[in-house]
Amino acid sequence: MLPPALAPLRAFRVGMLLALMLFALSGLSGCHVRLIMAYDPVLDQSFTALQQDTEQLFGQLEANPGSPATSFENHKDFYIKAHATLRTMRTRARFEPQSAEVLTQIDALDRSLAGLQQLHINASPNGPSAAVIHAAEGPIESQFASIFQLQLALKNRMKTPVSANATAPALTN
Amino acid sequence: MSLDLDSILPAMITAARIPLNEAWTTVGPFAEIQLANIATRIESLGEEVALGEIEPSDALILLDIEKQASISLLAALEGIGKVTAETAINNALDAVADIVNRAVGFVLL
Repeated sequence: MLPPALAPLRAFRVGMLLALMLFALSGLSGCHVRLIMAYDPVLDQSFTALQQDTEQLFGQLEANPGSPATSFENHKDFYIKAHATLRTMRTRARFEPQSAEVLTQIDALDRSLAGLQQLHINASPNGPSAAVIHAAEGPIESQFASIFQLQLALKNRMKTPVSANATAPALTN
Repeated sequence: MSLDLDSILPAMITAARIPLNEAWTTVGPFAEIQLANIATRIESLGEEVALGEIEPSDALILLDIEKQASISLLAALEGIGKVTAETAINNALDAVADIVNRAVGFVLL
């Protein structure tokens, strides 16, 4: 608590705080706060398509683990396409404001698929063993689960209803 | 007509609490399950190397993939937290928008 002599200082500080709040609100569309990027259906659909391709790869590897049929050479196209897809998605997300979390997820997935590619190369001339496939599949599927949790939250934002109890009381005269 | 800020504040707090409570219900179990899964996988990775089913060099790569899964999970939780905070603030503003706009005589909120 400031002494009475410093009341003008307190008023100045309160005024500055209000000015900062109004300044912050003035830059927001419709006076709504935005802390994270808008939902982008193109990114969401790209994640979905990439997950389908990845699941298809795991299905093929699990069908004949450790065999020449599942060698890296026979699946090289998947990695080329997946990396290109993630780079394209990254470029798109980078130009969205407040997209740090989505960019982090894209980078993490790109690195995981690069790791899977290295595991695939290490197993040459055959495909990776069942143990390696199983150990890689779980965390990569978890990554997709995390990605879709965030995408769902972005998609459903602002759908939380305001309770009837939250209605402000009547004005006083 | 004047604004009674002491009356408006409880309504804003009530509105802001709704998404926060819902987020805890949604995110909490998801985070616990994901983190438990990662811990289990790290343990099984060590056992498979000991049994010779996985090469140590491959185990390093697999561990890095596990780390990336954790990073992705944390990014999701952080992002969901931001969506939740955003919804809480916007709910609070929406809850008092009409009353504030009427009081100030223009569309402030």
